[in-house]
Amino acid sequence: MTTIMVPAHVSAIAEMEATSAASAVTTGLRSTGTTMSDVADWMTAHGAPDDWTGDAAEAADHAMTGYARDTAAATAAFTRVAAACDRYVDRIVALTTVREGLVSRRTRLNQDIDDLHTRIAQSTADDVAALEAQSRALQGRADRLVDDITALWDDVEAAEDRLIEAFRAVDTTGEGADAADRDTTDVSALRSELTALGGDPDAINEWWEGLTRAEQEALKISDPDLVGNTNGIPTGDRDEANRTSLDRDLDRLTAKQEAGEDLTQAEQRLLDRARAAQTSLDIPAANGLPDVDGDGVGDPVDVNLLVYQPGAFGGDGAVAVSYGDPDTADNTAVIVPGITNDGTTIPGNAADAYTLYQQAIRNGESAATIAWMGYDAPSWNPENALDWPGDGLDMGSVAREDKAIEGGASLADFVDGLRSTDEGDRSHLSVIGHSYGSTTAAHAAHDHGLDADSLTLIGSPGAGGNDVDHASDLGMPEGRVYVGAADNDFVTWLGRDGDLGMGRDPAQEDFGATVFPVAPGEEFHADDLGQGVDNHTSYFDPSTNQQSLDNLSAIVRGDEPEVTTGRTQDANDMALDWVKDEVVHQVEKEIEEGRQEIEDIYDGGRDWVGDRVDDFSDLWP
Amino acid sequence: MTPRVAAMTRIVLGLVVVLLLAACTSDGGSDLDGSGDGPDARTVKAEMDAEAEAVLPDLVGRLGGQFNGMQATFLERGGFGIWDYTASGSLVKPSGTMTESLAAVEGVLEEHGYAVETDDAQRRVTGTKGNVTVIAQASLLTAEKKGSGLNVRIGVSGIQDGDDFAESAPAEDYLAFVQ
Repeated sequence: MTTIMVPAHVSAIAEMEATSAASAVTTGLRSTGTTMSDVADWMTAHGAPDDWTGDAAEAADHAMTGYARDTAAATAAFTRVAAACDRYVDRIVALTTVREGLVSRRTRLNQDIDDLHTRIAQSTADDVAALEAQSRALQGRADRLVDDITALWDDVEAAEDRLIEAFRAVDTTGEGADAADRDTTDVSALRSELTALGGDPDAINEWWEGLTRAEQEALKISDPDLVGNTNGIPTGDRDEANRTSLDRDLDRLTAKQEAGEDLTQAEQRLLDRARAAQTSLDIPAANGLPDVDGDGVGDPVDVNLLVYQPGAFGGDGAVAVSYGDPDTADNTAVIVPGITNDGTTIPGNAADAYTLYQQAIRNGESAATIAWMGYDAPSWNPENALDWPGDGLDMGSVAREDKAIEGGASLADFVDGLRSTDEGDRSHLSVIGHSYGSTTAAHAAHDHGLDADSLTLIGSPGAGGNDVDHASDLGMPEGRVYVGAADNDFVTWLGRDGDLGMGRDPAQEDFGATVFPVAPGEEFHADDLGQGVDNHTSYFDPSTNQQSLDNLSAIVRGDEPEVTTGRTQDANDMALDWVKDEVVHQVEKEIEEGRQEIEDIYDGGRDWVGDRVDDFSDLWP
Repeated sequence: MTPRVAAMTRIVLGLVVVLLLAACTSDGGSDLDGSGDGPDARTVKAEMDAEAEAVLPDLVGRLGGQFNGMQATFLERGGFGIWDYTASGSLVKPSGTMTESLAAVEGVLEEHGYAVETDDAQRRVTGTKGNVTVIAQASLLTAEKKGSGLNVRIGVSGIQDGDDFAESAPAEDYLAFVQ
């Protein structure tokens, strides 16, 4: 009997303790650095109060200068460790990929070992030589795998050591001050250079890529609002900067609340918008991570905060959240919401974007879907209805195109920014405008040459301006203006030629767009306007308008949606028909209610007479 | 267009804009302020939570695998005062092939009294019962091998009443129903 030595199974590879979630620590460090930087700037600029004089003022100035110097040292320390932490996270992400490869190799190897055991059990003496050769080959694979696993843990330990060393290097005020002294980064010069580029995203991208990592990190800490909201800066850097600002706002305002202090109205609005942004960032964790690659684990979603300006547009706020990284995605979609939206309503739009993301990646390609609330849409907080000329005026602008025209310029710039930071093969980029957002997107296309591969208008009140008579006037590639319009969406009855309204109804057959079918929505009456609004807001809803969502998903993937014929009835005539039918309906309803009332009175009277007759009968037996 | 028709058109357009303005505020619109026939947010939540508690354990029991996500929350559509109450998640590592998994979903939903529709091209099963809709579909359109993941969504759409309740209701953790 011959004994064949088969290698033992390779043991399971331990999970890594650190994950890419460690980036939250980086954000925290950066946020603290930003707060320190703000404090140092303020103290340097202000000194003692103006009405202080004499020794007290001099002493205060001296103390504040010293404190500002210490604060600058702390800022330098936080800048250093944030950069180190950033490098550590990058390394951990890379090593996680290495580990996943080793796990796959181990699974295959152990299976091959099991298979060899099976073959040995079924073998004869003639097979021994071949089986021994197979066993030696497996042993070689096992040895190499064990070596590679050992190297992985060595690399993990080295990354941790470098991070620890970075923290130790600046863990005293003196070391922080040394770091500040050694730091030759002139942040104000960098800020000036960036501003001088005039918003050209290609030039900004080239300039940014030319900075050292230390310079990028210093600017993210000193000016997170600038870095986070400048088109042309890569998505990952914008996200890091904006999360820094978001953390700063949440920390400051919740701390104030927890201390029992009242927030001003402006602070409360800012906090509401910050919380809305945070809720949007958390959507994938709450709504699940799809397992597209079939490895039995939900695939992580790269969530990016691309715009965060909670005080923009008179406090309405600007925000954009991306599910997936548009810099690397095969397919990218920008969703432009319409009226009633502002910085606080982003979670609903973000949920739509995430639903679209999950649909878009079902073909196995990567995607990024962005809820972009980067313009001042007409919105109205009913609580402030009397705040003239505040929110009341803001909502009144729904009847005009001013905000769509301004928003169109911002949208075109944002898309130019996405193009400039795009890596590898050019991403297939779709812009989807809903409601007033469709008019905004149409203005971006017509007025600014929107650099997208397709433009989709859903629930549109008009395709913008008097110069857009046909889809070809929007300057998109041939056949790439798509329109979805529910028959019972009353906003789509507003499109018309002429000076009143927001341009032509793009769903008209002679407009020349590619019209895709959507659920018509239920008929509604004046006393059931909620259904009308439901019809207008269901284009991303899989429960009531799966057809629309499937077609939007096809467009985002670069596939053709289903196609239907455009409208031949004028949009305003549809509104007119609804009004006529509604008058008839309401009159019939009144008549029916009146008839029922008379019938009830008659029945009541008859019962009363009957009762009296019975009474008399009782008295007169 | 004659001047008379043009004038009438403007009147209609004005009316529609007024309707839009009325409807597009959280407390505007007759059916958005609590007088409509639709269920309110509190009722919807109770209905859907009960359905989830009944259906999700049976889904996991029949399909195998594990859920992630599934936090039921109210979300408002823009600032329209229309709410959706939904929980979405993924079922990873089910024991069967995709065809078997979707058939199992169909069976479970039918047993619970749902009206079920299937869409083979989209690898999707949709069940409706009362106000609740359950949708299960392949995470990857072409996936068929054993263990391929599914996206699952349970929700009620277009809730028009109960703003205050919807705004303040905490997330409901449906994973607790399947652990």
